[in-house]
Amino acid sequence: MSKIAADTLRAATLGVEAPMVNAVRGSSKNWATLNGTGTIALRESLGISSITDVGTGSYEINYTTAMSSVGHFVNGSAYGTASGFPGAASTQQRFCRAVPKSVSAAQVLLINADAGTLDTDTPYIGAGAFGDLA
Amino acid sequence: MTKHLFERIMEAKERLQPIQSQYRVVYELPDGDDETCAGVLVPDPNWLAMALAGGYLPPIEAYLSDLSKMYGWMAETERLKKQGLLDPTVNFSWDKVGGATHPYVDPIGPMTEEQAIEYLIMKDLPPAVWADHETANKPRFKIVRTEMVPTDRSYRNAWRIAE
Repeated sequence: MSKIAADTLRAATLGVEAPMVNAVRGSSKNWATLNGTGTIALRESLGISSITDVGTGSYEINYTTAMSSVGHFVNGSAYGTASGFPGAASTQQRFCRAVPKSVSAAQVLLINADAGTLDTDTPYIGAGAFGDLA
Repeated sequence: MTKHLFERIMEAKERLQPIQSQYRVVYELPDGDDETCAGVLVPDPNWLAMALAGGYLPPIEAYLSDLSKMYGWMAETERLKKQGLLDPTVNFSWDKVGGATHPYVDPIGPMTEEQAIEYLIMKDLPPAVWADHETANKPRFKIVRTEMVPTDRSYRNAWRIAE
């Protein structure tokens, strides 16, 4: 397998540069999108071995390769309601809390922002982990 | 030299078609209270494709060895933190236990889907769920066909393993 060894990436037309380490460490190593309604299923993913349906509005994403530390960054988003995508877009955005559970998994919770309790399932949930791999 | 597991994952993503599993694993945590409902483990289609193709995934022993190192570190530091001998904000990282093994060992060959599910149980569920499945007086997990998992999630938080 060939390899490109460089310290800097440069956009040829714009002339903007960035250290190569940004591209390596700044890219998501593990990510998944899933349907959280009906029979839970993954839509698309990279670097994931499985997801766990823990309960209503509560999921875990298990990585195939562990991250280097539990301090890695996880980002998540959720959209829609338990019955799909009815109503205005402004009513469909869910409050999603995605945090590392361990070096090998992330926890994704859908929170009702007003009540502070777990929210209903939604048809679109996405989460990704950033940081160094083990 | 064996490629890093992440490199193999990226190659597999390009070469293999994802495969939806026909199985799910329903499990209960042994130390859960009466309010804790059953969980459902869903295999990732890209991961399953790698498992069935072979040549990508490390042996399960590599994951279990790394888990053992991590749990050992956490148990020791928990003790030290309670005694005030260690900063409570110190968190786990692989460099504290000499590094992880599973990304660097040689991959194993192809598995059947049933073997892949068993592999996944050991990899992604807590050992307390599966370690004593032959001697426990109550099953803590069941491998079921996908269609056996209810699609109506109205009472999702009341799900339990049928005995």
